Amino acid sequence: MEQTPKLRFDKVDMVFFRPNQPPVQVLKSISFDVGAGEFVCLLGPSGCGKSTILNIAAGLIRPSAGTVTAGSRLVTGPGWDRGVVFQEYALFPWLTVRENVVLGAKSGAGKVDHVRFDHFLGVTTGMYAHKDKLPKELSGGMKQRAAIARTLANDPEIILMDEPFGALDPYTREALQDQLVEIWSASRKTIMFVTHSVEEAAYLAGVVILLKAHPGELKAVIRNETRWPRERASEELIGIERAIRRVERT
Amino acid sequence: MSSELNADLAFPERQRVLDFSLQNPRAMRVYKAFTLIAFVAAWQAIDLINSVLHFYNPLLIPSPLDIVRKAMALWSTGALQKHIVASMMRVFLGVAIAFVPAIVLGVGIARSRIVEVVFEPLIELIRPIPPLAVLPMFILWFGIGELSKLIFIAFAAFYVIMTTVALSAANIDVVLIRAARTLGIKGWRFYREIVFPAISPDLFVGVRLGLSAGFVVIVASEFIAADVGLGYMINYARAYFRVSDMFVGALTIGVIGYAVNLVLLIVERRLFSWRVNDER
Repeated sequence: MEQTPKLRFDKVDMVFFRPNQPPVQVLKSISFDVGAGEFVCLLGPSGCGKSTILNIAAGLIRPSAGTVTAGSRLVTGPGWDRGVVFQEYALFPWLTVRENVVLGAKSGAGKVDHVRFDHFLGVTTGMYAHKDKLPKELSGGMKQRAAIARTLANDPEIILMDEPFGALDPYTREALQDQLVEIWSASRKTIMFVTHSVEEAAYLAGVVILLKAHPGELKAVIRNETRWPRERASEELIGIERAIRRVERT
Repeated sequence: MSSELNADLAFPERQRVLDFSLQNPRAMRVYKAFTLIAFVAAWQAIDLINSVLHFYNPLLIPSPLDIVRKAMALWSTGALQKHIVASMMRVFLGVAIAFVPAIVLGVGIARSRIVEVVFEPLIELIRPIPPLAVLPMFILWFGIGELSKLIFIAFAAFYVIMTTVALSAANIDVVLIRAARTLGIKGWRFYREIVFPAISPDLFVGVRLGLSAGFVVIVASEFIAADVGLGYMINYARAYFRVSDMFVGALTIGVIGYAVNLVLLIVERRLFSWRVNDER
């Protein structure tokens, strides 16, 4: 049963050098594995380097030391096999929702399959009715739905999400969390999700990777075996939250 | 406070019609038009008074009516149109020549360190030189024909467009660039599908400014060795002391510049409606 992990961090260090200032160690010897189909949450206070970890996994920045492997390949740069959903949505403002989605897919699977895109927009993210709108005409929640559709259309192996619902109001956030879970359970994609919300991590994750700050270090890995469908504020999830908070305090 | 706001929302039309204050943009437009009319009327009045009192030589400053009459005369013979077409063709062609090099170098300097190292020092060295200073050289190198004029305008427009493009390309939202990279968009596709659309609104502004720069310098290049064009018309009129012709030439350039700018502004608003802060 023990397969090669979808994503492996092996003793990753990250040190930022700034002129006329002492270097800052952002990450210190980070090692963890993300298995195929897992939903992993990176949880920690600001300054713990969780977004840095995500950016390293995406290949957007290079670690100072250590190696990152995605599947069987060493990560040396960005690639369509690791799709990223940003907190700032990052939709191209000059393209409609649909064109944004198509743009991503052109680099991934090779050919543009319009039936599949409409499927993504319609079934997966509920954006079909808004497919010809420009990003500026959309609400925050709709923008993030479009961005998720764009990432999915590229058919990545791993979806990296950097506090994707951080800028949304609580109602929209919960709706998108549920939608994400649906997508995840239907597609069995591997997801690494950065958040600083204990509730969000407890609700979404199968594995919570807890980090501490200054320097960013792995503190604990907490498994969340709660079965789906999960219920918010259920005894089980509150128990998980309590366990996370207990470790955080130590 | 909130009831005030509601009243505004309830009677927007009524408010707009009755608002003669300087806060109302429509009223402001009327006032500005009035200022212009008042100025021309005053000028005409002074000319009228002068025709009785003779306190300045009317040959040096013709009246607005004289200028309009002259313009109509020049138009009816077809001379004015000929000069307008010649000057405009030179400006548009010159800017067209500058267009591609300005984009390539502007984007290159902003996004490639190699291009920056190779080209920026030279460009920065030449930048402070006023285009007029190199016009005599261009005439020696490219002759007194059309070519030297076109290259001269291209030279003047190039810097404006390139600077605008470079600034714009350096300031593309980092998140968009990261998104493009993680979507696997790279190489030529990155420039064509991400960089070019991202800078296109600023590029358009650059072209607008480049055309303005073109209209500024065209006259000078037509002073020297031209047989058609508004600059030639003005210079020729000077030789024969036809001040009205000179006024017509100068005002025509002003009107063309204003009209071109206005048309491009309208096109710009249509073309880039996707911009977020488009509520101006």
